[in-house]
Amino acid sequence: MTRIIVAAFSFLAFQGLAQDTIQAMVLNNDSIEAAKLYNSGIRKFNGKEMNGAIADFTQAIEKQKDFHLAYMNRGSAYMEIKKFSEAVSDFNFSLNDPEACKDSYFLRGRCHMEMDNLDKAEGDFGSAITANPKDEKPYYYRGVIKFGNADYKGAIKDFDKAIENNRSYAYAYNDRGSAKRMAEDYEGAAADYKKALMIDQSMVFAHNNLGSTLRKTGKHDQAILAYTQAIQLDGQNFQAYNNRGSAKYDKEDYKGAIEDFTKAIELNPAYAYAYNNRGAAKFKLQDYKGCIDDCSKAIQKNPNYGYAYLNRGNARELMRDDEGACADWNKSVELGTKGGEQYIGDCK
Amino acid sequence: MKYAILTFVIFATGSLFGQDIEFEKDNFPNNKDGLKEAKNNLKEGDQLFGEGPLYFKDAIPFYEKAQAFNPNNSILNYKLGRCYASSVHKYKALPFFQKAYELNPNVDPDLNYYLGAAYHLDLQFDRAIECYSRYQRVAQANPDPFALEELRLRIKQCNNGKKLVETPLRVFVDNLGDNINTEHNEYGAVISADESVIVYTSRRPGSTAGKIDPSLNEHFEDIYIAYRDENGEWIKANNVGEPVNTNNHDANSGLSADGQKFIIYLGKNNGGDLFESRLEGDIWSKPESLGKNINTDYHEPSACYSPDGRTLYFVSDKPGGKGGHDIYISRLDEKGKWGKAESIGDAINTPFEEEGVFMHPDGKTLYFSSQGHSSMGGYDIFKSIYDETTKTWGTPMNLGYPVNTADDDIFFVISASGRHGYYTSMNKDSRGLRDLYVITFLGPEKPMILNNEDNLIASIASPVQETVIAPKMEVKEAQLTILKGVISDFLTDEKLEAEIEIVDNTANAVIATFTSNSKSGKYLVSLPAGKNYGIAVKKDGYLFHSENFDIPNTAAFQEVKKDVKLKQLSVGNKIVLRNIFYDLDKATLRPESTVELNRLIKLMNDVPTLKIKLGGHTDSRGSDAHNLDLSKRRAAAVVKYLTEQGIDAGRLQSEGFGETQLVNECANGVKCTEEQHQANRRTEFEVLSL
Repeated sequence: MTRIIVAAFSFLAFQGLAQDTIQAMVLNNDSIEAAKLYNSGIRKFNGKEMNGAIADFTQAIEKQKDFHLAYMNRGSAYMEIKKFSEAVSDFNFSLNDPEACKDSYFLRGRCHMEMDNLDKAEGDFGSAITANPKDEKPYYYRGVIKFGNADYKGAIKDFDKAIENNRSYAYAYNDRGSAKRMAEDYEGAAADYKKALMIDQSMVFAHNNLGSTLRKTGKHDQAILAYTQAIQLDGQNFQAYNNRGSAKYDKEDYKGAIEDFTKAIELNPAYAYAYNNRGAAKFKLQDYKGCIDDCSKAIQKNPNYGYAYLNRGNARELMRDDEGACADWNKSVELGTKGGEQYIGDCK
Repeated sequence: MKYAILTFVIFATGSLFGQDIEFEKDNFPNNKDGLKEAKNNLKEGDQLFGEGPLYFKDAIPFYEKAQAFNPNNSILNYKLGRCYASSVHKYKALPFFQKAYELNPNVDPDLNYYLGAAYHLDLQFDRAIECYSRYQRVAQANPDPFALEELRLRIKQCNNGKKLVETPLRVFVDNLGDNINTEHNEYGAVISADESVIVYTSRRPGSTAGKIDPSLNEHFEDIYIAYRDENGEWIKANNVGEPVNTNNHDANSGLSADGQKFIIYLGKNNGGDLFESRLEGDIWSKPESLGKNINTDYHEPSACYSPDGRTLYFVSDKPGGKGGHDIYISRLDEKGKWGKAESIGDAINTPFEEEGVFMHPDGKTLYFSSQGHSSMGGYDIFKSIYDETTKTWGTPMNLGYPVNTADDDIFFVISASGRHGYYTSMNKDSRGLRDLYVITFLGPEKPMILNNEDNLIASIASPVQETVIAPKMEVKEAQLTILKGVISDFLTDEKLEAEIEIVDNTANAVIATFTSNSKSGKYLVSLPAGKNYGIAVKKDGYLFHSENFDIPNTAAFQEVKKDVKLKQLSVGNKIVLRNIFYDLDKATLRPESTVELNRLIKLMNDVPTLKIKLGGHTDSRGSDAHNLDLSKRRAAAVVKYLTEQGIDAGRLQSEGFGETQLVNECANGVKCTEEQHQANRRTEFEVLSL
């Protein structure tokens, strides 16, 4: 009886072995297939065929369940098409692989950042830094989060580390400049923006940032030069025209300012700021009606534009329209415009 | 040659414009009558001009006619300028002085002074200073201390003016209009707290005295009162009448805070004194002198009360002051009389004229007019704040342009709200001489707000692809399938030496035959990709074993281990014929099945007593009934093929099992791979007897 049982068992074992042997061979085959699919996915990723890449990585994972690198790459592909939740799920898995670990923390941090889960993102960047302290990017993005939280000192420290790890990191210089600017260290800010532009002079936004920082310190001519360089790089940059117009306004070159604001409006007819600013320049030229018209257009573009109400109120006051002026100033206060209360002193 | 002509023309033109043309017949040979008339007008004008400044305005019509005939006479232009400068239209004087200077800068020794004054009035301060400076050199050649002092003052005023005009006040300055002002002098306004009533002085026709003051060639002063209508507009002012107005000069000055007392200037006594009238019911009492401590034999033209009524600020040119009219203070004594007056002090009074004193309801801010301090010309309005701690008056501050101008700005009062001030001036929109104006103070400048935006964060301004992907993997791409394993006896596991036949099913041909190791039973076969292989393992006394490998061109390198257990040829044993193929969903045998079928025929021929049963099996897809039928027909098709090839039908049976004997879990509804389904689709044979 025992033999029979043993024999029967042996038979079953054999059947199982035979199946397992074949199965093992199939699995081995799948590994190769998985690797091929994985490589195909990378080719598609590089060719910006993200959906195709995701499909390939998915098949690779089906063939090899613990294919961590495929998970990481699929996560990256999901990131590219802004499916951040799916990407996070993939990175959650790929984190378990020592090879994929440091990049996965960084990538998951970027996903959390995009999803506005800033605390989680900051934590992930910290883990990425721990995994690889020589990587500049986690420092940079953690700095960006700190900047957003108005922790400018903390941001500057992280940007310092990012730059220490990569001396040519133009973005880190730019952003450190912005952090210094917010901390009212305008000289330091200007120096960083200039450094960023030395590394990459095509960064239009850095020219704009430099111009606005110089404007803060009353260096209007230099500011105008910086904005002009932004415009030369990108003739469609309405923000640069608007900024240069403001610098000209500061210089009391109101006609020049109006030309720039007009150009900004031409490039972006929906740009309420440029209408408001042009109205202010017209006000300075005592064209109060023109100011009212422009501020009205700014309000039309953005009905909650409190400053445009303030400015229009000023023009109405000088047009002897006390009632209209007070209505505008009161509206501005109602909209919560900072400083609006100081305008309504004479209104009953 | 062309250049020479051009030069000549320019020279000739310049010479023509610069020529001073006398009223001589040689200059107007073709218009003797016109010249005669012009000279007559000139003579009439000169007679009036010669009678002094009071009559200058009367000379203007005659001079204008002569000027129309000959606009290029330096003397006439100078005199017309002088006449206008003395008239209500003093702003018209400038072009005549400019023309006179252009025609002949030396037409009159005083030309630079008057041209400077005209520029000064027009707020052209630099040009005014140039003219005054030139005149200073003339005055120094013939020293006149008073003239030199005045020039120094005027140059200082111009410099003050330059600064004040650079930072204008945010005010509206409005003429009070035709119901208040006339072409004559109006000044000295006081207002009620709610600004609904205005009381002021005017030198208009119809004064109580009905006379002309010969010293000024103007009407006597009277006090007028006006009210606002329901729309806030001033209705026409009325003469207050007797007893306040008399047959001499009557000018209002201060109003007490409670509106019950009224200070009046009466010009008939002692060179002009201050009186007080009290409101008795709705009638103002006969004015009474403010007393000997206030009024002197000199000129006391204006005064105001402190808010508590216990202090009087008044103006007098009595001896002992700093110069001209000064401001004095007197306080009520215990008997209710005004005490001895004292100068308000050197912080306020200057060697020049002070006038029009007004104390703000706060009791510490004094408004007054002065030609000194930092005036930009004539009287300017100043304010000084009294410091209770140090008991001193602060440095007077010029109220600024455009409240103050280069002309006289005087008699300032401010409303209780502080929103409006009322004062006397002679701006360009004056109805004539001095008028009353209201100033609307707009308060501190309300800044215009500009909005700008920058992209502070680079990665937001210009996002970069921060995704990271792991690199590609190296994959061996050898297009071979290695088939290896061990061949042994199914029951004893004895390693067998067996024949391994490789068939190209597509070509229906045996392409290779191998033998396994006789001792270990191992074998190894390399199969290139791109074929459908049938593999048969055969050994005498055993049922052959059939395998199928479909290896597409794209297949990667792979090793397949396949141990084969051969079953002895004995009743009950079954084998699967893996290389028998049918058309899809049919029972038609495909040509690729030939080799396998022939192998079966050979077996049947080698063992003539062998009887077998062919069993058909399908996968679970499709209906059970259909599958059962299909499997029966497929098994029968094999039997049919064998019988057609000469095998006795009596040795053959067939049976269809449909999906009743699946070899894996892929039953109805279970999701499986194609390979799993393939395992169930099979043809078996079973040894029934030997």
